[in-house]
Amino acid sequence: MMYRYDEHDLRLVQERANQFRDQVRRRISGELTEEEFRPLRLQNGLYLQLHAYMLRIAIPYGLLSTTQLRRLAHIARRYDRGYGHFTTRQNIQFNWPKLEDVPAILDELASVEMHAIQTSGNCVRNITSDPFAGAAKDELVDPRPWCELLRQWSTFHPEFAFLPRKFKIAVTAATQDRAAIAVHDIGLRIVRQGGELGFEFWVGGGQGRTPMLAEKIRDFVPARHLLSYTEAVLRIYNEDGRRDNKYKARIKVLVKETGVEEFRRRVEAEHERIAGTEALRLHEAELERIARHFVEPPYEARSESLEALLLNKDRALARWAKANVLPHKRPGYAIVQLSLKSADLPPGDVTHEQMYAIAVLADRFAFGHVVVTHRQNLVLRDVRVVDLPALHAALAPLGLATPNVGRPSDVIACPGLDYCDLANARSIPVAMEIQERLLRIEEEHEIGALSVNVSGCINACGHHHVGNIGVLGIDKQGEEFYQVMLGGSASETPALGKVLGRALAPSEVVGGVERVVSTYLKLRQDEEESFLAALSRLGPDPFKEALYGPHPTKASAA
Amino acid sequence: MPKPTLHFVVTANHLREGAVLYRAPGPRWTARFEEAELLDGEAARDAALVWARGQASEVCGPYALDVLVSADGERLLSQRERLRAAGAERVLERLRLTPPELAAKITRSA
Amino acid sequence: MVLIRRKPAQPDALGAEAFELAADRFAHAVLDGPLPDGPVVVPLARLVRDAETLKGRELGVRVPSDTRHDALLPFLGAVTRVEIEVPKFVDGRVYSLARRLRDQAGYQGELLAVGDVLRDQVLYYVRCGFDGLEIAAQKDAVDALKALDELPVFYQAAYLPRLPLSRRVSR
Repeated sequence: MMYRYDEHDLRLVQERANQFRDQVRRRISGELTEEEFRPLRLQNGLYLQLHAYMLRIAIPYGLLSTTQLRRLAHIARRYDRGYGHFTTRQNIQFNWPKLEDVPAILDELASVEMHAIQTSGNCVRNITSDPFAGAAKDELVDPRPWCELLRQWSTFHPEFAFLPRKFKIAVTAATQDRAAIAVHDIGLRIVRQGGELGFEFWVGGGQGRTPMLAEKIRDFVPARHLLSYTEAVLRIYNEDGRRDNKYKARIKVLVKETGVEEFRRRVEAEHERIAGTEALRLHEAELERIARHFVEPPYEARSESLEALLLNKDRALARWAKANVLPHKRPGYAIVQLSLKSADLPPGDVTHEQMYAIAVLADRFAFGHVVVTHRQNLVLRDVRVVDLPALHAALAPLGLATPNVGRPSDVIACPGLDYCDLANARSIPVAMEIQERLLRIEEEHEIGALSVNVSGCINACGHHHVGNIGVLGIDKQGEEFYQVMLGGSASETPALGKVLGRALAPSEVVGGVERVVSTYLKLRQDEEESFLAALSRLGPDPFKEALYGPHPTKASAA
Repeated sequence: MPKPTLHFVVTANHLREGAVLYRAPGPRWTARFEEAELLDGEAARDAALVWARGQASEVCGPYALDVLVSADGERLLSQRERLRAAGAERVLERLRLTPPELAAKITRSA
Repeated sequence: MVLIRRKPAQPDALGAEAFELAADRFAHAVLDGPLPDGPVVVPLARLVRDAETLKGRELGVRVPSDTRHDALLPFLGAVTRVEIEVPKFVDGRVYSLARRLRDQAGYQGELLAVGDVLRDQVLYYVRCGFDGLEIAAQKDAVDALKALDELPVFYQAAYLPRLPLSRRVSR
């Protein structure tokens, strides 16, 4: 059901922990200067933020066992301030570790087959994927063995440890893209062509200062060429990517400035040279070995459907099932999302008590696994439909059953200026206030999918470019202001949001976003018309008017 | 009405624990921004930074920040430095990350 | 400057055992000015300009990190050493250049990394085809040798090892 380390995998993370222990010792003793130590600690995902260090731990394609989750809870309690933060790249962050404790934390992680390798730095980062992988109805094959293959190939790859900039890879295998491949440096969609499995290969997506959607470099890379083709792309990027300007150093800029045709030509030429080598050709036996770990859980033969639950007399249960529960590929089972957007806590934050409780529930109801999503929620992927009422009853008092997954109040936010050294504005308070307002609206109205994404700076860790409503915090003469954009989408029909107008003060933006959502409710043709569809039909003007409030010199239309 | 005056404060993070520190008279390090020494002029600022970098066994990431002092002696900071000076406890309070409360809530309902 | 370099009898080995500290037997010349007798490393621009007059000498060439490997191809036959400059350790182009020289051009002479060569990148250099490193100080060189034994698990193929882990061991 998930990849388990063999003695080689284990040795690697243990040795890495040992190596970092020695590097910390040398820094504290003064053998290493700060300048020498800084890149070393970054390579272990340890940042220095506003108030403290921050440790980013890798959760490959978001998949956690309950053993791992319990260890994260333990780390939160023992070494941090009792909570962790799940990120938009399916990782977890701890905001208050002490440098002198990090070696012990890495040892703890290694003992449960986890690490913080390559979660920072100009290297290949966590390989992310569809959080429903393995359970989704619209999935062609399980993408996770391929993610694991790529993870191992990229870990300590000696040629790509110092790329021009960070490198993010995402993999999807479903018709609905829940991995946002269009905004990754490499985005892969697993497809079948003439009976053969392969990859649609996209390159050059990314958010940040210059958001861009990826270009398709190849319709079909046969599976046996996955690693050689990926290596070709990385090599061209390593050689030709810009190193003169940090803001122009991602592969998306190389693709744009070179032109897709020429970029493709270089990649294909390099791939031609290396494709046939034994070093890079897909090792079938190895893929099979990895894939064997991803066996299906021991499903029972069941047939209960979700439908009945949606009409349940218990209104809270019904609402929760409608919003947070999805059909599973297997009859009698369901995919349950745990909303980390109760507005009790910052988006994506989970206390150690909650983590322990989730582990208990996952063991009882979900074959002992939990998945992190890009929207900072968690998934219990294989839950029997008959168990849903009991699960809901257990989740509600934990604050994990807010019926809002994918709804407007499911607001995602980066850590922002409350934590982050790079931020220009706070994102969490704005996100939480927006959440509260929208939760109230959702009590009264049926609203379907609508994404609100908040970032505290142009680095866009809150993915504001691909939110249906995106909010970007900026610094205007030392004060926090917020820009609002509309129409973004991280789906298989990707789009980048367009800014509506001048930036707003914190108090204005909260009310403004609330009014935008209310306006959508007022103007939509029916409950079926999504926000994006309404925006497309009506154009931005009615929403712009709503955002900025009633114009004092305009006569009110209604 | 006299204009606010520009001064500098040197700050860093505690190497082993990560906590925010400010350079106070002595010089020494303090966790409290109110105790930080206001430096006048770039020469004083740069000298203090040199001192701070020499404290590499105690602190990391030293830098100088601007402080405007108003006519009535109030120290004015950018939003970022205001948040940083307010400290870890304030962050947790503001963001409602008060684990004991939530823990009590969970244990009560279990 | 101290060199770490591969022991002659250990062409494909990784690990501290296969490397040693050594004095550098090459002198270094600049673009213009006199050439000492004996083995000498010249900058690429000089080799390009003076290829004819330098014929027959024991030569090395020093190239900047942004050199394209095909710019070096015409000269690889004339040299027994290539030195690639690392201006800042974050300039990762040197790794790809080294690999192309080894894997694509088939260069088999000495390949050295010189400049901002840090102990913690030593394994990356060696795995990409460098068989020598120029380290600023003796104590760092001894330490850098030790670094060759850290992290002894290599998932992917590179110049070394030539095959991915799954093809080298049974998993």
